[in-house]
Amino acid sequence: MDIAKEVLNGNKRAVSRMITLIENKDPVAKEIINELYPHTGSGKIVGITGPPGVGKSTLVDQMIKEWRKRDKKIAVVAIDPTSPFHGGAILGDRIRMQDNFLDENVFIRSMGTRGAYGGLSKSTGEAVNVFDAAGYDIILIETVGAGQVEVDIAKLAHTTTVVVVPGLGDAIQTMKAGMFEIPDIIVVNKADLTGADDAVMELELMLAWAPKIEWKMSVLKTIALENDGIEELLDEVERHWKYLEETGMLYKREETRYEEELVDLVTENIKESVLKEIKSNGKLDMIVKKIVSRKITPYTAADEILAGLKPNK
Amino acid sequence: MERKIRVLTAKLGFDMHNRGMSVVNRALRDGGTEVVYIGNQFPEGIAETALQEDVDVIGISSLNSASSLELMERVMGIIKKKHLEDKLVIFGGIVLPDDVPKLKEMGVNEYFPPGSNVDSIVSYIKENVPQ
Amino acid sequence: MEKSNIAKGKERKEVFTTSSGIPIKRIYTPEDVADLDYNRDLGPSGEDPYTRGIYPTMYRGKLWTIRQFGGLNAAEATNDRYKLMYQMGVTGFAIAIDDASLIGFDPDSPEAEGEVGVGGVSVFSLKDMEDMFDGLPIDKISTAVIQAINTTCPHTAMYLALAENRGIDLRDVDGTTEGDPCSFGGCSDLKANPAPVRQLMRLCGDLVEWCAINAPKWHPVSFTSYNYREAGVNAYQEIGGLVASAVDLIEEVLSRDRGLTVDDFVPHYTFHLASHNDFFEEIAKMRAARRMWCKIMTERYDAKDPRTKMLRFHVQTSGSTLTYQQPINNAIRVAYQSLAAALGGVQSLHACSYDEALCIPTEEAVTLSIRTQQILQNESNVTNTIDPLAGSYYVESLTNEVEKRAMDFFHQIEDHGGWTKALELGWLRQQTEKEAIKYEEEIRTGKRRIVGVNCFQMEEDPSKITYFRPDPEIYKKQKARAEKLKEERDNDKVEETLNELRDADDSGENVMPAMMKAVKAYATLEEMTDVTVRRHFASGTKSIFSHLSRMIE
Ligand code: B12
Ligand SMILES: Nc1nc2c(ncn2[C@@H]2O[C@H](COP(=O)(O)OP(=O)(O)O)[C@@H](O)[C@H]2O)c(=O)[nH]1
Ligand SMILES: [Mg+2]
Repeated sequence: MDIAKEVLNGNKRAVSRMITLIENKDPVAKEIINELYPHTGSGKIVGITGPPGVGKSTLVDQMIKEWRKRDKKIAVVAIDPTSPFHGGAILGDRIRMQDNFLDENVFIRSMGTRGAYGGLSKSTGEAVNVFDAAGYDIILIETVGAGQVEVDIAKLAHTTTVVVVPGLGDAIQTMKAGMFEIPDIIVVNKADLTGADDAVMELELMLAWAPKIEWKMSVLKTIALENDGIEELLDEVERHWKYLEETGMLYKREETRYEEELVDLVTENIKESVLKEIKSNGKLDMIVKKIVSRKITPYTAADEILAGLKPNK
Repeated sequence: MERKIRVLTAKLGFDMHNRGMSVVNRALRDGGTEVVYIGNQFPEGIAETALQEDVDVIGISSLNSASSLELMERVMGIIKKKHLEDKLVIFGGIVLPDDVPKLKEMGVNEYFPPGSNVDSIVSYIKENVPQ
Repeated sequence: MEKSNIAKGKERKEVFTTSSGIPIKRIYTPEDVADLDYNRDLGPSGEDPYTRGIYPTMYRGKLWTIRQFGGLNAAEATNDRYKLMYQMGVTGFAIAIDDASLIGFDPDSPEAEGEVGVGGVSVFSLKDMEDMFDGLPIDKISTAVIQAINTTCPHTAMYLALAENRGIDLRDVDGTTEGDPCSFGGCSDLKANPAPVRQLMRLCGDLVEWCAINAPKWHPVSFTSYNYREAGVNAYQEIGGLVASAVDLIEEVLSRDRGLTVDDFVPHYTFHLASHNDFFEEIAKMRAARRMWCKIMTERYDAKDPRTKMLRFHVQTSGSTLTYQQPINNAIRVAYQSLAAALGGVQSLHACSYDEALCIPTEEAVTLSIRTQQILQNESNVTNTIDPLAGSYYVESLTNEVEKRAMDFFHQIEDHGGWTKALELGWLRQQTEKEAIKYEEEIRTGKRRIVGVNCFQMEEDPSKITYFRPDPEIYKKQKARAEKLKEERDNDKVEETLNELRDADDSGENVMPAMMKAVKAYATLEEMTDVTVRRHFASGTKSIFSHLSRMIE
């Protein structure tokens, strides 16, 4: 199978396999990405983040349904944490996304963070590009986040939605820190529970302190379980895109995203080649021993290693 | 390359006995695999999920010896139709001892009856996932 | 006292514990029960705090009911099975309903394919109930309608309508509904999903309320800790949860403020516990549960009616202890677990069958279960005196310890806002899963030994047993039956009664009067649960599995 070609044709099996190659850091992935890249840039990326259990997956399922009504082709990347102890993960978001995945124009993919911090996996950005190239109009990313860690998603997505629930005063509290940088839209889900209006008020009050930017962040109420408030949420997301386009911010956002990705790529690359070099010939082991026996300081050792590096191809 | 084994797990049809499934899910996670757990699903949904998730293994659980063979027949049919035969298919839960050969004939790679040691499930997967 | 002996002697293990992990000493002495106050902590049976039993005469007055849980294929086959069991001497029935009906689907529904007659009998209208009990004296024998949370009201209404149609006064109908919405969530998961859980609680409350007035001998709810025990929790968590769930439903009914006090409806509550492998711990658990319940009803609710303070319970031996390997061994496990229930003061008992881990029990297997109970009742003489283990240093101190830990668990649930809230938060599910995983870990490492599974295994089982296989045509037959029913009944009447049901459901009044009418008009299970249950799940959500996942994951 010519994966690149098939991805561009929208072949689901090719898309699926391609994401695996990316996740496994298979060397062929790089070449295919190079082929796909010119065909990306039209998909809209929407991040859905917030603490566990607030109803993100349920909300995503309803958003898929609504966007299907608007005739959009939707992909979802649902990310759950990988266990740091065993390297395994239980990816359970799909349990709540059972209404639409048999639809031909919907594709859901679960991912573990595989050691990355910040709620995204290292492959998320590339997976998004695969969906983009395969013709998905909207790519939703669900990721767990509480506090400032969602910064990553905000850099990747065009529109970031932070989800909270009533009575989670603490969550709102922890969110406060990164509150103004991260979300474009705030959703108070589970509005069927008591305290929803209070939560909205509290958040709006906080927003009053936000630094003045042109985009006015809004706080919406939803009941994902009952498909309530979803249309309004979609309208707001689409309004945000319009704002990005009209103000040229879309371009700016992409710059931020790729700057980040590029720096990551370079760092990752350097790190890998350095490690490969010093691990392969037993050098690392030797130097560590010297450090432990106080023959050399860690700083000097690091300088020496760097100085002795051959430039990578 | 940093390959990770991906396993799809599902409860078949309406069978709500999820104790064994959660125990197995946990063991698979602790064994370092990535488990995509989808809860209850019909055969069509299981196969489509396997395709989208590009898993190496499809693990299905049912404790209803009455319906599991019939439903598994459908699962295996759709797996063929969708050309997912490269996946390892394992089944856990209750199948009458007399029926186990039928399960294998359908193409199910391995059956794990009640009382199976969860370690044996993890090691079976590690040894048999196509490289 | 020979204290010196305690230190001496080599033992097989470093620590000995009960199944739920309570450390056990080498030997128990009067010191361990030094604080025991006979009148306060035990008392005679039939008196506060009921530790020794709820009736003054216990089995010297009336033996426990032999109530076997059963259901297979459709109404006719189950009727045959019930008749056979009746002949063999069972004194109570319990209906095992199939998966399609449990979830509230008719056999002609596309969702039901492959699920009809699976795990029990297909019962989707009054017609099935009529055929199932044809020729059986339901005025003399009590029946438990055992089902999942979705179909509490309609299935009970079907049974009660059957009785009424036979000319039996509802005031005389004896039996139990087991539709405890709490239990299923405990073994599975409802996470934060209040709308439906609350609706299910409401329906359960409706039944409780309605029965208190109309069918006073009927037990409208049986709190079923069996379900979460089997899903994983340990002995003391089981009864801590049991009490917490019953308290939650008390709060639900009281909060309606329609003039009922605990003494009006709690006497109708019953409970359904497990009898697991650890012989003494299970006995201690049953004794502790009675004492705990009495204390809470007295201290918290100021109950006056003694029946409010009595914990009446059914026991089912623990299916999850029964093995797929060497199945005949299960008969022995069942016998010990039944003995524990008898010594624990049970009111009615289901003894599992040796083929439990394989299939719906065969006739031979059920016969042995019934005979197991009869041997216990007629030959062992354990029924001669009440609570024979009282005063045992070990049993009394274990009873105290189980009660203490159960109270702790109960308080933890209360700290999470009560049972329903703890369910919605997913906390109970977490506890259940944690214990299930721990249990499995113990089996895996060999710390918990299970004969035939992780020790004393055999390549081939020495004894061959036969298996039950359901009728392969059952789906087709029941589908045709459903279609026929829907053609022959008075459909205008059905529509009218369903509208009435919808109005009652919307207005918040008790749904039971309308439900009884609908049932008598042969409205089907699916039609009724559409109105009272499915309508309350996410509007626009069609997929049965998103509905299911909300219930169980
Ligand atoms: C516990 C239990 C329950 C609990 C469920 C709790 C829960 N949330 O899980 C409760 C009490 C609620 C329950 C209810 C019912 N039950 Co039940 N239940 C059992 C019981 C006793 C034990 C199952 C269990 O949890 N074992 C412990 C776990 C750890 O083992 P396991 O599930 O077998 O899993 C192991 C292996 O099978 C394997 N495995 C399992 N899944 C997977 C998946 C993969 C991928 C792999 C590799 C391996 C694997 O690995 C695990 C570890 O070794 C069995 C009988 C038995 N002894 O097996 C009956 C049994 C399964 N139940 C049965 C029935 C009929 C019901 C009901 C339908 C009865 C009714 N009519 O009301 C209800 C309704 C449930 C429903 N709607 O689905 C029947 C099924 C009949 C059949 N086989 O045809 C059984 C066999 C009992 C019987 N003989 O009648 N039940
Ligand atoms: N009451 C209520 N519960 C909801 C709502 N949305 C989701 N839930 C429930 O919240 C729980 C967690 O939902 P999930 O989507 O898995 O949350 P996530 O962890 O944020 O992805 C589930 O039990 C949902 O059914 C809602 O609007 N109201
Ligand atoms: Mg989620």
